[in-house]
Parts: sequence; structure tokens; C-alpha cells
Amino acid sequence: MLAGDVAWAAAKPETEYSLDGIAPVLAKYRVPAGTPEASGPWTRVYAHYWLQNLNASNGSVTITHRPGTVSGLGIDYRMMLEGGRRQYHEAMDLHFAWSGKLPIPKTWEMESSVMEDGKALDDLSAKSSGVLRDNTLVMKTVNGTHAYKAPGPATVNWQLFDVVSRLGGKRIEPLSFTLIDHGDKVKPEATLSYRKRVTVVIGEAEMPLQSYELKGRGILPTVFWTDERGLLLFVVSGLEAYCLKEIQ
Amino acid sequence: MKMTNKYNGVRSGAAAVALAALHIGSNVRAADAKPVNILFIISDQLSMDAIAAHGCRDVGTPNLDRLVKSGITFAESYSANPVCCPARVSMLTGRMPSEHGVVMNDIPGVPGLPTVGEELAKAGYENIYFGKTHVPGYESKGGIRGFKRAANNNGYGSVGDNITSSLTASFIRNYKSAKPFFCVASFLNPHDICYWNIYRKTLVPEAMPFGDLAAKRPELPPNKDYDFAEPAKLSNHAHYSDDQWRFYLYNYYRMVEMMDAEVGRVLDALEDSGQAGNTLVLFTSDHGEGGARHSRVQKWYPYEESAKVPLIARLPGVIPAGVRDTTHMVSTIDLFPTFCEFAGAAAPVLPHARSLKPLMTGDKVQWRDTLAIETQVVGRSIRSAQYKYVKYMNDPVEMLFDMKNDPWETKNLATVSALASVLADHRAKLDAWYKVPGYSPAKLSDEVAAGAGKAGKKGK
Repeated sequence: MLAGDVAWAAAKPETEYSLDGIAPVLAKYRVPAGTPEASGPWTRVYAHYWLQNLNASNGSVTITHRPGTVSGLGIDYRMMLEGGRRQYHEAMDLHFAWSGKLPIPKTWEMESSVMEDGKALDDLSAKSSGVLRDNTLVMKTVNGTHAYKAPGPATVNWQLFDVVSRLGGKRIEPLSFTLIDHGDKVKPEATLSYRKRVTVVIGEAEMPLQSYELKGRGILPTVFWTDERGLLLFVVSGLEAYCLKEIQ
Repeated sequence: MKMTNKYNGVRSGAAAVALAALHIGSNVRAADAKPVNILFIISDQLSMDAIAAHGCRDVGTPNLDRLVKSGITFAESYSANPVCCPARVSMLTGRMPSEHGVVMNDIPGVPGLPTVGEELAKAGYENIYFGKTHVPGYESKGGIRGFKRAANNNGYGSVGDNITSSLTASFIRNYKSAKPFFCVASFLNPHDICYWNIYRKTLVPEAMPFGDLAAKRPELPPNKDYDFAEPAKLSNHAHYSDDQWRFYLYNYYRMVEMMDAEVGRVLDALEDSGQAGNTLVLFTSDHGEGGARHSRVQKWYPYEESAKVPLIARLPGVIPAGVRDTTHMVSTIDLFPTFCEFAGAAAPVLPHARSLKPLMTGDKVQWRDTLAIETQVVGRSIRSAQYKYVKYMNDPVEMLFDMKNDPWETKNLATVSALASVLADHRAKLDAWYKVPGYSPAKLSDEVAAGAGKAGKKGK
């Protein structure tokens, strides 16, 4: 047992922060079948919930990892609007390189749109691209370019799903970085650190989980939960949650 | 008129006016200049003092700070009624809640009142609204009256605000029409604090979930604990430990920062589009947040933390940069005629609302010397330059605060005999506010009029 670990007794999720917020989901939850191999090609679908309404998911993010000389990550993010009458869609294709435990994005292409009856509303659609170099993020849009300071190492929020999946549930030294939220919002002074190991009841069985926490400016403290293999199952703040739904 | 220029020290009286006039004189717009676009950014539950440029050391708000630095910020700015629906309908109609009838959340008000969107549409504006609406009686699936289309999102700011800023930025970046636009970006945060776990009492001090944040949790305000008589409707307090309060505040400020990042995305889009020089940007909030002051969470109350809201405006070449107006009492009801005057649109006759344009541009103008705030259906407050007087219907307890010498509202002076004449004067001032020509109170159901129902118990 590592220093700082606690031999936690089996706890009900409703008493374990931040799983307490998604207890009704966990009561019925089953880990989807599939390989947890992080470095190979994979696609994972996470259902999104608002903690005020856990009866139904209101969106999803699908993350696709493509290994290669320059690694790639594909993001497909969808959220219902106006009770499902419209749907908001963000897509990102991102190329990055690892620096220690942190993936540093190099370039990415982004699209966003609102879908109504299956069609995108033209004036609310946008394409942009980002380049990160020398602590500067340059976003290119239909109106030209805009540069932002991005001090220190930087990573895109969706890449943390990949980062945590590769930690194998092990204790780490805290990672400090600038978070690039949704590809263009720069939030400095973020940290990702090991939290603890707990055993909780999920479905009808006890399951040991490891956890990591994300904190920083413009970030609501968020806990990432993996199984003992390192597979990222849940990402939960005090308000919203992503739950692994499918491995492709 | 006293103004503080953040970069040149305190200025007062004629010197400040002269400075403003000189500035405007050198940047006067041509008579045939294109009508200005209007970008109206609304936050939800943002206290006046929760912005770094307004002095808060616990938060980082670089994007609101740049608005403050490049425009005017009003230090004596109040919500007409510090709860979502009444406040938002007041922005939309320019009327006090007791007049438009939406005196609590989720009840429809007086039908048929003109909206600022309708008036600007008549003047040739392209109106669009993104984000939180919450204006009962004025919205349908198609949007808000007067706005061509809305993409409503009334859920959590942690998800919805990213969408609101994305759509607003896309709209601005793609806008090619010759018509000026009136674009509303209505963000939910930091309202998410209403749903935070600690508020739902699932946390206990022994299990504070992020112990390493202890050093970063904000200090508690000096008026958390207080001891004075209050009207019965103000008897609800939150009973948290100091650690819980500080954790609550830590999270509130993170939500403010989340909203600030969305504002930044929108401002960047405006700048990139080349329209920033011809766009009035106006930022405000529907109400503030208790934030442990007077041991309270959320809003509804007449205290400053709840009723006071930021009001920041920028229009390069017209509104002087870096001005802090500490003198004029302004209200969210004033936004309607303000937008109309900047747009060259006719505003309906409004009994209380005044255009803020002359204050923003530094023109001399006779201004009001009192301002009313309505709370919890039956609460009425009146601010004067020095005092705030609070009265709840059918409640014998009155409150009087000396806002100059006790800005944290820690001493209720209503029973101080030496101030009996001040109390009487403010009773009269409050009475006079509701006797101005054209003011007509809405007819309320007996239950609503008595302040029953959700008002004062739960709000959104």
C-alpha cells in the first residue's frame, strides 16, 4: 500500500464524493465489455448527465484514439437543446505528442453547429483551427487569427480522458498545466492529482476504484474514476457527470 | 458628479465631467454613422463585488476586467428585484416587477407590455437571443417576444454556457447583414452554485472533499454573523460550518471564472469580426449571491450582496474608458430606454426607467435621488445617497442602514430615536416612488399578493 492510501472499507457510492452525485446511475451500472488498452486504437462513448436529472442522459462525448507517429484524438460532443428540439454538436480532430504523462496538442480542427430536424443552421455553424507553439495558442477562424498566451505545458480538456486512462490507477505526482477548454478557452493553473482508492458498491457488486482530481481556475473540482485496470469509468463534478457507456 | 478613473486616481465634480466631455468631443461619431450594434451579456447570480476589477482577490476574471478597463462601471447598480424571473422581465420591459406582474419566479405577468426587442426590431435591428431566458409570459418555443430566434438553454451553466458562447460567437463571426444587430448572450453561471452539493447538504465538515484546497478557500465576509431585527420573511439563513462556507465560496468563484471564460470567447469573436468599434457591449446580472454575507446563500433579499449587480458598458469613442461611476443610482429597469437611445429607437413611456446613455457618455443630466428595489413580493426598499430603508408589508419590523458608514449593513438603525426624521423621510420617499405618473400596479392573485408560494422559499 502506498503512503497516503487508506484501506477503505466498502462504501456506498452515495456516501463517497463525488460518486454520491450519481448514485442512481451507479445502482444500475455495468462496466461495458471491451479492452481497456490505452495506447492502441480505441473509441469510447461517455453518456453525459446533469446531476439534477439522472433519469436520462442529455448528451454524450465520443472519444477516438488513433496511435501513430503523431497521435490523434477525435472528439464528437453532442448535447440536447430545448428538450431535444435542437442538438448542439462539436467535433474536434486533434494531433498531439506526449511530454511525460501529459499529451501536448500541436494542431487541431474544430467545428460546431446547431442541428434542427437533422440540418445545421448555417449562421450558427463555425469552423476553426488551433496551433499551439511556444506557449502561444493561435486560433484561426473565419475572421482571421487570434493569439492567446498559454503558459507552461497545455492540454485540451478532452485529452484528460486519455491521460487518466493511462495512469493505471497509480499514484502520480501532480500534473500542472494550462487547460484549453473545448479547444479555445485558455484556463491556466490547472492541476491533475491522485486522489485515493475506494471500494464501492456498483450495481450489486463491490468494485475497487482509483480516483484523480482536476482543479484550477475556471474549473469546478472534478473527480475522474477508473477501475483497477485504469479504464476511465466516471468523470464527476458536483454538477455533471460523464459515464462510460460503450467501448468500440 | 463624482467619478473614479482607475488609472488617474479619484476625480470629482466638474473635473470629471470635463474629462469625459473632452474625450467624447475628440471621438464624436458622424451623424450618418451606421447605427451601433448591441451585445447584451447577462450573467446569473453574479454579485457586484465578485469581479477582480471590482476588487475581489479570490477570483480571476480577465475578460470582465478588460470590459471594466475599456468602459464605464456603475458602483451603485441594483436589480429591480433580485430573483431571476422578476429581474429578467424588468430588463425586458423596463418596469418594476410590481408593475409588470412577474413578482416571483414562473408566474406570467401583465400581458401585452412592449419589450425592448420589439422596439429595436421596429428600428430596424436584427434581434437574436442565446442562453437562459426565464421570462414567463414573454417566451414560447419560437423564442422571446421581439427576438427573431432564440436558442434557449435553461439548464446548468457548466454545460449550457459553453453552448451559449459558442453560438453567440458563431452568430457574430458569420454576421453579414447591413442591419445592426441586438444580440443577447445570457449565461447561467455562477447560478450553478444553487445546485452545488454543499447547498444540498450532502457534505459534512469531517469529509470536506478537497482538503488541499483549505489554503485557497476565501476568507469569510465581515458581516456573516450579525445581530439585528429583520422582517419575518428574512428569517431564512444557511447554517454551515466556516469550512463549508469557505468551500462554498471557493466553488462560487470558480463558477464566476467559468462564466468569465465564456464572456471572453464572445468578446474575442466581436473583436475578430471587426465590429467591436461599433458595438455597445453591456454586461449585467439579474441578481447577486448571498455568499455567506448575512449568513445567506443565493438571492431574494434586499441586502447589497443580493440586490446589487454589475453594470458595465463599453462603446469605443462614445463611452470613456476606465470610468467608475460611484454617484448615480441605476437599475436594471434602465436598460430598456438605454438600449433604445443608443439604437435611435423610440421607447415607450416608462414611469421609473431612465436612459443611462448620458451617464455613460459623461453628459450633464439631472438624475434621480432615490431608487426602489422590490423583494419577495411584499418587500420594498428605497435607496437614497446615504441610506437604505426596507419595509415588508404587514410586518412591523423596518430596517434602515447607513450605506456610507455601514456598507456591510450590520446595524439596523430603524429604532434609533435620533434618526426618526431620517426614517420618516425614507418612508415618504418609498411612498413617493410608487406615486409617480404612469405607474400602475399589476393585479395579483390573493395568494401571490400575500407573498405566498415560492417567493422567498425557493428561486431559480
